[in-house]
Amino acid sequence: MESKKGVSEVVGYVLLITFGIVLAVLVYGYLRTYIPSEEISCPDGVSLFVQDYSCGANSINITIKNNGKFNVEGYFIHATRTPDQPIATLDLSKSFNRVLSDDGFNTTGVVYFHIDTSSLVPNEEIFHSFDLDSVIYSLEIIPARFQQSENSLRFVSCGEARIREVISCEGFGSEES
Amino acid sequence: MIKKRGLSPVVATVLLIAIVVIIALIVFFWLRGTIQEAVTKFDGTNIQLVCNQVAFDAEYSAGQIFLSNTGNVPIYQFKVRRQEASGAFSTVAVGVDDDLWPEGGLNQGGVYSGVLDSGSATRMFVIPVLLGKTQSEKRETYTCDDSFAKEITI
Repeated sequence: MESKKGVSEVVGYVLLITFGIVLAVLVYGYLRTYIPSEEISCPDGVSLFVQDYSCGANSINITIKNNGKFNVEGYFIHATRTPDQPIATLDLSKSFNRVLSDDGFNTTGVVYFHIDTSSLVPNEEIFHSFDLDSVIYSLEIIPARFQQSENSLRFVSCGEARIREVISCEGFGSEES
Repeated sequence: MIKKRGLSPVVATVLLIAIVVIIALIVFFWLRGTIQEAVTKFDGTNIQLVCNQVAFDAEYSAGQIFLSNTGNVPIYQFKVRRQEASGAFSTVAVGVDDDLWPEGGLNQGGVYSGVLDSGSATRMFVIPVLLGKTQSEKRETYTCDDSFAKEITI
């Protein structure tokens, strides 16, 4: 009689399937991270515009208008300290003057248009004031808005809609210019 | 009568299993050292892919570097790769020992300007460094690929 030794057929299949599943799980766990997620970005029609500005003795007042197609909730604002500074790095959001401004507040580098974080709707304009401790030469403003992303609302910086406004505040440190 | 010598079937099986297990362990530890553990950011996206979403401006003027994060990915650090006329490269981290460098790096809308020694470099490249986490929840930095570097004129 033929001797039957070794792993039975059923056990062989079970082992094979188990190895297959374990390998598949390991490979899936590693490759899963390479699935690209949806990139958060602002729509093309987001745009802000510095309608007007005026310089006080130690402050700058700007009127910002939403001339885009979408609501905007806030903005990042930076200034240059020298005329030839290539990128504005003086954060003006810290010196936002809530008392002199129409509305809004500042937090962690952002200035919101309204105290309740509601939007600046298209064609709406608002007056904001900032205290200054040195003369500035230009302003850079990046709009920011809340945007829905996979069941959550995210605050998105609209870097492509950034504006740069050259400022002439010759009367800094003196009376209104 | 033929004399049966050699290992018994039980010992042979035990040996076979032991050898397989040892080889598997050796291969596992060798591969673990070779394959990097996936570092992810946000909702589990591999940090290598997140580098695609990084947006920043970098300029150099009068011995100072100016940086601005114009995108939505926080940039933990920047490295500057300096290329000498001889072709040699050296790399420095921006903002090290500078109190003005934000602790968590440049978040959305974040900016920085500080002194950077260009040395005798003829070209400089700014490379973003991101902070992600591993599967074991360990925080780890990842330097984006050179293709995400931005050249700054000296």
